[in-house]
Amino acid sequence: MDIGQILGNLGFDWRVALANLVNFLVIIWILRKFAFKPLQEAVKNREEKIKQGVEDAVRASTELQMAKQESSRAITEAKNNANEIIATAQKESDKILSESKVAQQEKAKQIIQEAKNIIKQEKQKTMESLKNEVAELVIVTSEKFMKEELSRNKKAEITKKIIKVEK
Amino acid sequence: MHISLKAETIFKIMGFEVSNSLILALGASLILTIFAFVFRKKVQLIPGKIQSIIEIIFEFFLDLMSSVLGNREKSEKYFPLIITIFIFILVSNWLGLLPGVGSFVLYEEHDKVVPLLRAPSADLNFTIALAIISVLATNFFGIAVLGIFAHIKKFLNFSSPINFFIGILEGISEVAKIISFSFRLFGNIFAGEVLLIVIFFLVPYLAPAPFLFLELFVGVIQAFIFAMLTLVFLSAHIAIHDSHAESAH
Repeated sequence: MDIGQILGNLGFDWRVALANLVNFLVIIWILRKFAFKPLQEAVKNREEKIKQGVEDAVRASTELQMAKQESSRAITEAKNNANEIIATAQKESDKILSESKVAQQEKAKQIIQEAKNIIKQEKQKTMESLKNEVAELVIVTSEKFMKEELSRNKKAEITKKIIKVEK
Repeated sequence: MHISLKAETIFKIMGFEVSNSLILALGASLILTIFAFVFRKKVQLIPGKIQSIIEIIFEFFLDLMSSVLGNREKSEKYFPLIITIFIFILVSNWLGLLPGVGSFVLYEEHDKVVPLLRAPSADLNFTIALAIISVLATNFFGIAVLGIFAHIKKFLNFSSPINFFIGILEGISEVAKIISFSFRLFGNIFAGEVLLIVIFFLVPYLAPAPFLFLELFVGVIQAFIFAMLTLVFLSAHIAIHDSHAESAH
């Protein structure tokens, strides 16, 4: 019994085997062309997209970090500037206040001085007018008194004395 | 109860006998073709559920192939051959388990029962065809990578008597591969068919269910073994190239 006969007994027929072989080759061609290649392309495209997305995300994150640093720096600078402005303004206001205080004090002194002068002048005027009135009153009183009691000589003598007192 | 080793002829076209297993093999081809055309239209950048599952299976195979072949580029190159062997045998095996296959009898002659359909792997023609493809493909890729002379040198090496003897053994092993490939698959699936026929004959209800599950599992395992052995032989044929390249340097 040769090998061909053994295989024949097992059902081997080269024509059917060849048909199966061709059938498989057709299937591998169809699957490769219509299933495996499109799928591989889709997977590759997806990988590229994901890679691109990750790279974009990393770049965006770096840019965000830089922007944060930049904004933080800008805020610090602005704060420093603001502090400087406040300090300058404070100084300025202190200066203005102290200047105005001195001016006020001087003005007040001046007003007080003027008031004192006016008071002094008024006092002198009052004193003078008082002296004149007293002298006149004394004279009038003396005249009345002399008319009645003293002679003319006596009058003159008293008047002289009064004038002496006044001086 | 009738058990036949041979696939039965259903009809003839110009003297060519179309067997029941060939019909089911063509059915498997048709299913895979329809799948390929439908899948091509539905492939998307953002995968749906079915595409995700298919991608997971493919990724599993690509990783496995990368671990055997050494890198991803090689595994992508030889992926269509390995995965097609797996899918084609798997679909064929599972189709053989469908109700009606083997039990839908076309006609009876004397004590001979002729079912309309038969599991393709339960026919030696189918398994031998696949085995021949597997061995031829591994040799073809070996030639493509090494060159024809370096490849022939593996079988006809006159550098020393030992190498010559090893070369002869290598040649015999290529033929042995065809036999082992084809008879392993044929034996397993045919034995499964016989087992199911016997169980259905003895206890028609409930009892066959666990055996059907077993055969589903055997179908996957046999398809996987066939694909993996092809991969290993392929790896052996193209890996020699690296040692040649190294010795050349």
